[in-house]
Amino acid sequence: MESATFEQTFARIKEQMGRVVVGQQPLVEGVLVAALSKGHALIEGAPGLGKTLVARAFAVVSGFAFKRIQFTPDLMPSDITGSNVYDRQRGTFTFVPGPIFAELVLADEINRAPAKTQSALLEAMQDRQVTIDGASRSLPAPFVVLATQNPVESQGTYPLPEAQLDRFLFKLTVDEPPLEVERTIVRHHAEGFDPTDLGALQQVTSPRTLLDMQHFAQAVRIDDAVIDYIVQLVRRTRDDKAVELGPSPRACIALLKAAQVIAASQGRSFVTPDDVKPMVRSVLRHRMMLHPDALLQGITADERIDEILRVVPVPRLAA
Amino acid sequence: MRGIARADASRIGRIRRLGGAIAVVCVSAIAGPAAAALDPSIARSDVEALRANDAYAFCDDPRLPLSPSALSLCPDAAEIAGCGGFASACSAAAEGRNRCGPSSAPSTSEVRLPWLGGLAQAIHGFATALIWALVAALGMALLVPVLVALRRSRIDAPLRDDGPGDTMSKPSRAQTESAPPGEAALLSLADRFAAAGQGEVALQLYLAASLSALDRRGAIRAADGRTNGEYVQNCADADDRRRLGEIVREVERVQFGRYDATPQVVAAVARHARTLARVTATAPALTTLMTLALAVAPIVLCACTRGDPACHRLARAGDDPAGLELFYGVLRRQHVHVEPLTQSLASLRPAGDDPAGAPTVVVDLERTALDEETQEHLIQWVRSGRDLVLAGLPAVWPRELGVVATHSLASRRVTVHGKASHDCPEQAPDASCTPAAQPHLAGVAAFELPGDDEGVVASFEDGSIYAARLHLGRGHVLAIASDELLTNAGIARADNAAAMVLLMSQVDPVDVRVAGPHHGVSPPSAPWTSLTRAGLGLGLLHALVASAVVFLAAARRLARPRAAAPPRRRRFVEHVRAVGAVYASTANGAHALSAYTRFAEERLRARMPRGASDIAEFLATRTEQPVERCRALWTRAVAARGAPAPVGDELAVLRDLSGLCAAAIAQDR
Repeated sequence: MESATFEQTFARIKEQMGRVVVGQQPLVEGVLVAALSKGHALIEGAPGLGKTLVARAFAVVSGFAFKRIQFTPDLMPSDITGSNVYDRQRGTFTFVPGPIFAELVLADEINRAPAKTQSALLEAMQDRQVTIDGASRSLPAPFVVLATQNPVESQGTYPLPEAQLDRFLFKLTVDEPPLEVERTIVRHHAEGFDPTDLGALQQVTSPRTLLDMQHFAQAVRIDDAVIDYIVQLVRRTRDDKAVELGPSPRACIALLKAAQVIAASQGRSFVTPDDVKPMVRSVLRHRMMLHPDALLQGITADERIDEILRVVPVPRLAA
Repeated sequence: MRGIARADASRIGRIRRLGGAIAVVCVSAIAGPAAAALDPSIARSDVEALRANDAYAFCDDPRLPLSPSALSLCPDAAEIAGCGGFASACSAAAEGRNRCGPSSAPSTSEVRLPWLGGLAQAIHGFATALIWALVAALGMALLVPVLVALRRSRIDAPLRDDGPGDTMSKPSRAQTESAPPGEAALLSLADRFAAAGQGEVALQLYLAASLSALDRRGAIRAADGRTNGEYVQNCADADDRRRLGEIVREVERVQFGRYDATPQVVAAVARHARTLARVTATAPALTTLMTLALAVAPIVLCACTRGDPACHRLARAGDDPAGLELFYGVLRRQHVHVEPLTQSLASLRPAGDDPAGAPTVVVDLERTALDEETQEHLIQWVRSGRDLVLAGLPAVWPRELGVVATHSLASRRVTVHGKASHDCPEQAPDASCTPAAQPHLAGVAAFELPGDDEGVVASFEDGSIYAARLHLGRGHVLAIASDELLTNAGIARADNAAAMVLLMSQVDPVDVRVAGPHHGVSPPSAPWTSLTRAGLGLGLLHALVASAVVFLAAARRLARPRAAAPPRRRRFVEHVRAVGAVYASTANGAHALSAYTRFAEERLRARMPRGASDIAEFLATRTEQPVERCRALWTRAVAARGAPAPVGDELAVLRDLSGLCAAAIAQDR
C-alpha cells in the first residue's frame, strides 16, 4: 500500500460516514483511527446522539461483518462468546459461535451488564481470541469492538473496571450537537432519511484493505523526540496531584499507534507532535483515576490533560 | 504736697498727649488714605526722571515686531525726544523692512525674487502637511501597541490557566526562561550553520527566527506546549500562515522524517524566514523614524517659518511703546497707589452703602476685551458707586454710556481742562478752568454725548469730545477716546504726561487698579467653560467622542454572551476545615456528625457489593474490626441525625467513624 492510497481511503471512509452522521466528525475520525490502530473504542454520550449509527455506518462503509450486543444485567458471558452445544444426532458437542465472532462488534450500553459478562470481552479485546471449555478460538481479523455507555444513568449499572477500560484504545465522548448541526439533522429526517436504512452508503473498502492499512500505519516512522514527548505526557499524568492512578505504558503504546494512523492519514511517513496532541484526550481520559478530592472539586480528566498538554514542552529543536 | 501735685500734672499731660496721638491715628484709619493731589506741572519732570533713572527700552530698542497698538503711535514717533529707535522701527515697518512685523507691503525679497515667496508658501504647506502627518503617525504609534496588545491577549486567552491548575502544576518553562535572542541573531546564526553544511540545525534556527518574529508581532503566541501545527493554524495573517506552514513542513520532514536537508530546501526555508522576520524588523525602525521626525519637526518648522532670531528675543519690561510702564511710574511718583488688577472685572464687588475707599479701575479696551457678561457687571459695579477709567475706541464701549463714536476732523491737538467744562464760569474762569494741557495725539478717535456736553474734560479743536466724566448711577466713568495717553510712547511726548495726570485727577485717584488682557473675561462657571475659553473645546469634544466610541466598543465586547468563568474551587481539605470551624464556633457537633454520616453512607454504599445493605457489616469486613464495634459506632452516628440535644461524644464518634471509613475506602485504591 502506498501513502496516497491510505490517505485517499481514509478520506473516502470519512466522507461516506459523514453522509449519515452529521456534525460528529471527531467521533467518526476517532472510530476510524481506533480501527486502523488495531484498537477498540468506548463511546460515551447521552442517548440519541448517534453512537450506534456511527458503528453501523462504519460497518457498511468498511464491509465489516457487524454484530450488535445489547448489554443487559442478565446477559451471560456465553451469550457473547458462544458455547458448546450437545448434538444429539452426532453425540458430540458442537461449538455455536456467539456474536463476538464478527469483525465489528457493537457492545451497546456495556455498563448495564455485570462485571462477569464484561470480563468476557477482556480476552477477546486483548488477544483477539476467546477460550471456551479450554479451547481457544481466534476471532476474525480485523476485529474491532465499539462499546457505548450512558454517562447520566447510574441506577442498575456496573461501572467498567480499570482493567476493562484499559483495553479500550479510545474513550470518545459525544457532546450535544450545536444548533446548526441539530437543525441539519432534523432537516435530513424531514427529507426522508431513515437511520435504519443505510443503503445509501457505499462500501469504499474491505476488511482486507483495512488490514493492509493497519500494517501500513504500523510502519510509519516515529522519531525518538516524539516518543519522548509521548512518554513525557503520560508520565506527567502520573505526577499530577489530581490523579490518583495514572495511565499505564499501554497508554503510551496506544498514543503511538493513534499518532501513526493520523500521520498516515495525512500522507506523511513520519509522526510529528501535531499527530500526537489531538489524540491525547481520547487515549488518556479513561485511564486516569482522579483523586477523590479532585472529583469533589469537580475537576475532570480532560481539564488535567489540557493542563498537562500546556506545560509539557513540544520537541522542537534538534538534539 | 506740691511735689505730688507736679507729678500728677506731668502724668496727666503725658496721658493727654498719648490720647491725642491715638485720636489722630484712629481718625486717620477711619478716614482711609488721603486723596493724592495730582500735580500736572511736575508730570513732565516725572517722566524725564523716570526715563533717566529706569531702563525704558521702548525708545531706543523697542520690541519687535511692533504691536498694532505701537504701530498706531508711529505717526508722532519722530517727535518724541530721545526715541530714535522707536522712530526707526516705525520707519522700517512703514517701508516693509521689518520681516517680523504685520506689514501689508511686500517684502524686499518678494519684490526682487517673486519665486521666493512661492517657495515659502510651498514650504509652509509642506510643513502643515508634515504636522498633520506627524499627528497621524503619533496616533498610530499610540494605537498600534494597544491593538497588538489586545490581539495578543486574545491569542493568549486559550493558553490562560483557569485556576485549579495553579495549585497543582509546576510553572511552565516559558515562565521561567529568559527572553530568547532576537530573530536577527537567529537568522545570522542559521546562515552560518547553513554555510557550514549543517542544514538541519539551520532549518531549526530559521523556524525559531520566524516564530520569534511572529510572536513579537502578535500574530502568534509562543508557548512551550504549542506545536508547530498549532502555530500555523493560529497565525493571524494569511500570507504569514502560508509561509510558516511551508517552513514547518520542511523542518518537520527533516527533523521527524529524517529527510535530507538539501541546500535547496534550506534556501527556500531561509527565504520564507527572512520574509517573515523582515516585516517585523521594519516596525521598530519605523517607530524610531517617527519619533525622530516628531522631535525634529518643531525645529524644522521654526526654521522654515520664523527664521529670524531677532524676532523672538525675550520680552523686557518697558520695551513696548504701547506699554503702561510710564503710566504706572508717573502715578506712583504722584503718590498714587497703582497695581495691576488681580481678579476678573466680572467679579468686582459692587459698593455697598459706603463706596468710599474702593480703588479706581482703569480699563484699556485696546488690550482688554470685555465680553458681554463682564460689560454688564462692570456697568452695575459703576452704578453702585465706583469710579472707572475707560480708555479705548468709543465704538466698543458699553452701550449704557450712550455715546456715539466719531472722530476729529480738524486736528489731533486736544485741550484738557482742569475741571469739567460745565463747572467753569464763563465770565471769570479760575485757574483750574484754564486749559492746563494741550496734548498732541496720533489718533483722532472722538465721541459725542447725546445731550449737552456736561462732563466734558477734553476735546479736539473742532469740538469733538476726547474725554468726559460721565455719571452712571452713583459712580462715575472717565471715558477717554483712546488709550494713547496711557501708553509709554504717548506719555513720553511733551505735554502728554500732564494731560494724562489732569485726566486722572478727574476721578481723584488714591488707589488704582489696572486691568490686564485676560481680565475682561468672566470667570468660568464650569470646567467645560474654562476649557472652551482656553481653546480646548474642539479637542475636548474629540476626546469625548473618542471616549464614547471606545466605551461603546468595550460595552459591545462585554455585552457578548460568553461562558461564565468557572467558580473558584477550594481545596477539599480547606473546605472541610472551614466547615469544621463553623461547627466548632456554633458548638453543633451533632449536626457535623449527621452531615458526615450522610456523606460516609453515600461513599460506602457506592462500594458495597450488589445486594448488600448492612453498612456496619461492610465496614467490619473491610477494616477487619469487630462487627459489634462497627455497628455501635454506626448506630450512634445515625442516631445523631434526629437527636434533640447533643450528647457530648459527637466529635469522638466522628473521628472514629472517619478512620473506619478511610480504611474501608482505601482498599479500593
